[in-house]
Amino acid sequence: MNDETIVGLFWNRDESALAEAQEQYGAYLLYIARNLLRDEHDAEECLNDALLAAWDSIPPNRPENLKTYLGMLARDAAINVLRRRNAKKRKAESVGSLEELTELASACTVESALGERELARLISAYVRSLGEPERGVFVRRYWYYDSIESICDMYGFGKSKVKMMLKRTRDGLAAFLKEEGNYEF
Amino acid sequence: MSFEILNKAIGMLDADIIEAAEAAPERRTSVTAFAKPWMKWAVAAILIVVIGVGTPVALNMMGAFRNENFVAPGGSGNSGFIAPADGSSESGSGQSPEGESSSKADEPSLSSSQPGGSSAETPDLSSSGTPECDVPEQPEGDFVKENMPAVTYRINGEYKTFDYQSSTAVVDSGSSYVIDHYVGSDGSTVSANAGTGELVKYEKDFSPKYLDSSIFEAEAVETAKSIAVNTAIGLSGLDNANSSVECSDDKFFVVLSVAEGSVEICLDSEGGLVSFAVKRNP
Repeated sequence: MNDETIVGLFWNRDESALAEAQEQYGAYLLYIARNLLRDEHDAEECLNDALLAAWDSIPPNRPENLKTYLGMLARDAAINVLRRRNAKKRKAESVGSLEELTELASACTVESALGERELARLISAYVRSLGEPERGVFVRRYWYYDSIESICDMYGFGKSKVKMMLKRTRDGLAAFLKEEGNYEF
Repeated sequence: MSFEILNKAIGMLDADIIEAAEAAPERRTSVTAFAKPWMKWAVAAILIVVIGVGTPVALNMMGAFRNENFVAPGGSGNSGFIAPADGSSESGSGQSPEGESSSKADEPSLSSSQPGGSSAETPDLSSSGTPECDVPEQPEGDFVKENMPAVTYRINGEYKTFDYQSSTAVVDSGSSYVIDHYVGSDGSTVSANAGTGELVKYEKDFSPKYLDSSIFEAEAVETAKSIAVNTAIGLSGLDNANSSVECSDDKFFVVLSVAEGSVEICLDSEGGLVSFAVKRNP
């Protein structure tokens, strides 16, 4: 079943949309969730949350790319699961990719008036301007939450090279946002 | 900016960028795509056996085929790897027959002491895609390795300096041709006649690992200098200190040396300070 048909099922409030979406993209969503949560049970919970979020948001949304849309919902769901998990513990769990994003975000000293969508557009423009493999490594790390080790395996690079590449890309993003989005870093 | 906003915005990256990143690593991960780690070793072992056994057999078959069907005209001696029927020329060595003049219009002319006599032993620079070289700059006097830490050649119109890398090596036991290896700052290497300095082979190393590590090392040195200068350790001239750097998988060990002493700085892969030690000269 293609994306358009599945989105149609969501729009018609047909509950088979959930099963179809899970069959089509369940493994993909679990992959993203596992990268962040590293726990099968939590990843399953995240998958259900993502599908429920899709049910609640389609309609009114009509995603052109269902896979990426569901992936985005899985990321959000995984962050929420992680937050709930950390709330129960005294010390927050450390996840490398999130720490790096937190570091970048906290380096921003002056907030811009830009909204989320505009910020996303700027980040897309910046990532699009990168060459390969920087672009792919950035997306693998901060969209899929892949570990440094996984990225090294995928690209055949050493750890230091990947870390250095990511640091340069984050620095580049900060400079880009400063220039294009009036953020201050 | 909060982490949530940044992370959310990254989550809303354009779909084509996400999908491209999903596809890109798959092209590179054919080896890691094996279900079990030992499988790739098994496949590698099979390939080694197949290539090891198959290549000589294939070469023998090709040789037999050529000798039967494509014998060069007798006496020409210029038929590459195929020997003429009368056997008057050795095939495949890349050497000119002994005593024959090797001077070519475009071959670098390097004088001075030639070990082994004839310059006819100089391999053909035009083979295997080697770029043609213009007149190499030859130092005056005898070509002595100890006094020769670097050489400069003009290659494709561009002057390139190569540092001495290793001792001599015999490259061809048949001709006992002895060369030196030099490596350029851009990763390119040359092999030169140990006796005359004559350029034998030039290769540019496009290995990303080499190029990247050299870039990282340069950055590490700059970072180390900055750290040392700002740490007020009482050594002067650290801005322009001599530096050496060694790179392990995750760390850079930088040594900055000035007249009064040296600073040893270890950095992690992101330029963060791991350790710092000052040694003062007595």
